[in-house]
Amino acid sequence: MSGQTVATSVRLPEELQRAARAAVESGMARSLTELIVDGLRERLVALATEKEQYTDKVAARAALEEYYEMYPEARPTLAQVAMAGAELDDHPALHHPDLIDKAIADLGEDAHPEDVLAWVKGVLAARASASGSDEAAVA
Amino acid sequence: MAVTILDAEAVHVLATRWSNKQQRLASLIDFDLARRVGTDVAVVPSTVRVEAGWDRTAPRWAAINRLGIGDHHLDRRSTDVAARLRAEHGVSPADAHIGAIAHGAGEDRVVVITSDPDDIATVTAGTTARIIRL
Repeated sequence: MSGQTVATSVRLPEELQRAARAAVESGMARSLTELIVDGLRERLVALATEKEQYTDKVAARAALEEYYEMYPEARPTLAQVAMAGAELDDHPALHHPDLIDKAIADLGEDAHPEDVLAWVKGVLAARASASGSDEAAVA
Repeated sequence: MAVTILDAEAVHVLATRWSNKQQRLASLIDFDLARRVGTDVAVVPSTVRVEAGWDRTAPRWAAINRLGIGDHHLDRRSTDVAARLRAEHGVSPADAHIGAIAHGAGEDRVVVITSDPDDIATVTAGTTARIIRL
């Protein structure tokens, strides 16, 4: 730890405190204070990074909208964006473009592309489950 | 984390009006930006920028500069990998650079958007890089 310190009291869940003491007693950490400070610092850094990434994404989204204004012919349909996502993530929707269309018909043109893919995944899971039940019934 | 890499043709498509591949490329970028969770980054290797003529200080690239596509620069180790890939496979420096990124990605997921999947498959062989033909 560096810099000035300040005393404070923190209410900890009992199990967490016991686990922390065990870590200190077994030599994995120097003190409970160190564990708390490190955890707090890591969480704050993660939050700052998250905020930064969110801000970058918002700026990039605005830039993409500007790009579409410059090149209106480049603006993809929701189905194309969802299909692109399926390609990027090797999502099962990649082999079911018809289901992407059905998902959009159901969810609407304003749907989030990830929701479109989730809808398709849900339908495919239901189909697989139904076909499994049929097989079990025959057996 | 996932890294999406653009090749020179992809950069060219991004900057060309009425390219028939522009909508397809935009849909890939659009989805990446729409993700609710995840730390996906799009990068252009610096050698690809050279090949494609992407000069970030030139006005014609201003709109594309703002899309959040970062530069990837070769360091000493990745330069060695790229040099080896170029010597072994006779690919362009830009493709060798893409291969070096894939080989150095570790746990990161790599996606390469390219018009030349064969060369990219050659330089990314042995990695888990996913290749998307533009």
